[in-house]
Amino acid sequence: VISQGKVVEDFSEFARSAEPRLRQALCSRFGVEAGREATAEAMAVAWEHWSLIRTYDNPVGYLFGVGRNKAQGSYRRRRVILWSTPDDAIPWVEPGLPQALALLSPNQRTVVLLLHCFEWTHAEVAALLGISRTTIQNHAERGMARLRHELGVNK
Amino acid sequence: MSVDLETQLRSYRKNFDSEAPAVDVPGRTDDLTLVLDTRPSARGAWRARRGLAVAMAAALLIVIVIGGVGLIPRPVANEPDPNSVPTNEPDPNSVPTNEPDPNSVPTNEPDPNSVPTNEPDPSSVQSNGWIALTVAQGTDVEAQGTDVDIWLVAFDQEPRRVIGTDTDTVDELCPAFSPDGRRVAYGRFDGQNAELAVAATDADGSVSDPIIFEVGDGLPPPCPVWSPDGSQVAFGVGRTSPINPTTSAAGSEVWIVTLSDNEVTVLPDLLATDVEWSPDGSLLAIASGADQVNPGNVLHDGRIYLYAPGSGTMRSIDATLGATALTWAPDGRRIAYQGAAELRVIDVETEQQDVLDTYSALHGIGPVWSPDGEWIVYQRCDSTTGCGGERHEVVLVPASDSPDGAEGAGEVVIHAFVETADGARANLFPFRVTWSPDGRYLLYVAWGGPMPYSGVAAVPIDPDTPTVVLTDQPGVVAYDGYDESTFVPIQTWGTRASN
Repeated sequence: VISQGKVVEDFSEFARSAEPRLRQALCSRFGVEAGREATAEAMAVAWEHWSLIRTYDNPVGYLFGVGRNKAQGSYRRRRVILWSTPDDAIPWVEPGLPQALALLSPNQRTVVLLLHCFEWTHAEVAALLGISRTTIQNHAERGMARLRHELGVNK
Repeated sequence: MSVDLETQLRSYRKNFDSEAPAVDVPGRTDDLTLVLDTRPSARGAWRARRGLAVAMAAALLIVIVIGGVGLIPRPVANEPDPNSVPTNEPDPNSVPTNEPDPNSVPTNEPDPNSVPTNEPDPSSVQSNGWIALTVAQGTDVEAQGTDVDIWLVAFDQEPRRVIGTDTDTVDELCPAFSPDGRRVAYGRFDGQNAELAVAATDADGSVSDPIIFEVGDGLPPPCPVWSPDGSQVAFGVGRTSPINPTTSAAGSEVWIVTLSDNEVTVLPDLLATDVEWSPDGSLLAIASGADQVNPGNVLHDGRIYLYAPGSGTMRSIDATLGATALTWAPDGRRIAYQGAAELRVIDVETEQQDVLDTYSALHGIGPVWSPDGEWIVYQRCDSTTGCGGERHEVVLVPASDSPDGAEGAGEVVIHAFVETADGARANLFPFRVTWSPDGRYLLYVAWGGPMPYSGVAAVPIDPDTPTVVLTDQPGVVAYDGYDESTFVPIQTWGTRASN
């Protein structure tokens, strides 16, 4: 039997590491607003069923699926609005980057942002999405190629 | 200065945490009731969602004020409100959004002069005249699966394709009429994405463009079942399927979509082989199959789960090991189900059950309770010819206890025949069998007779009334969804609520 205090402590530790990653992934896929709402939903499910989910091999991957289902059910037709580009960023960021990213397929956008913006590893992205590293690489290459096309850059 | 794209993307992260800040995470012992050491149910998620509703409402309001949110409008009769705040709480006062039009005239009622021996309650349900079927394009059975579309047929109407084209490369299947007969829900699959579609239908058989609900990548298409009030549809989302035969069943779910606000209630960790609403809509029964049906799929524990949308609670009937297909009695107190080589009936409150019949079969026996509650129809290996060539016979079993208590007592075996072009009498063999809304006919997806591969026929209960072959075109798909489904599509013969 686990004490409630231990459960809360255990979950809090999980949430500290999982929430940012879920938020990054779900906001990349659905945009900021729907992505945050899906993250909140997924974390609520995680808390409610923590005694079971804590035993999963890949709880973040499972919760990404929970959040994705939630967002797809309620927000499918919502336009993907990502966060803005920093005005004073060094290195400089093309202002049209968020709009170009929104044109990618959901999988391409998720993979491109997690790999290159949030600097996840291929293995981490593959585990989250439940698809092979080869498929991740394909999404990444096609996504980057389309981004370059949309932005008119060649490198 | 030109900066390479990878570097720009790394720099792009700078505004993320300020514009998409961390969400509130539950974790206090007083804000939620934590369920320890039990399987997940949706009840807790509902409680959690209620707690989040205020914050979500505020967030949605901000979005609406700033720029508006919206679904891409599509011409449907039941457009969801994109501004609604998802509470995930079914409205107990909800009513069907599409009231039947008293002026609509069914074009093809079954012959009112035929005298059924199994008289249904005439005040209960009428037909809207149309029967939906799923057809794989092509001229022979080998072509099945190439491109699947939805057709409508009626007693006095030739079959016509109403959803899909030869060139759309999208499978559209599992049609189900809403209880008021004015909408049809179905599954879509484009080779990668599974979607639920809901479209309005007219009395003339025309179907509008659908509204689409995305189910997910790499999943089988949903086979929806309407709730009795027409406000929700439910379906299984299996993670393992013929599309993903090597994928674990873990993560399989049952979805309930509330059509008025697009809200999806997800019931986790269920690999459903059949789902069906109780007649009053208060319970959704979910058959979770049997391990021997799909070896290794650990979520197939064979129980029947009963989910109550009104309270968000779920309980299991543990005595039903092996349940793969089920059907509610019209009184809502009993469920008949296909167990391990047995047709059983169980009382959902007392969990007392009886074996109505034992059988051998080559595929799902698909029990379906008659509209008047007197009979249960199912199919099994033909008792005269055996199962050779996948020959099944249709059996009507009295739903009440037989006088002598013996299994199979009082059953009626139906052998359906049709006349071939050369005047000979030929057997019809069923793939799936269900009832017409008025209980006068059995609807066969069948083969045999003039139908070398497939067809649809209305077989009257009255033995003096001839069988009507509605279509004998090749490619009528006998299954709904993909092969692992064992259930009978019970909403393909359109109903029309009485006034």
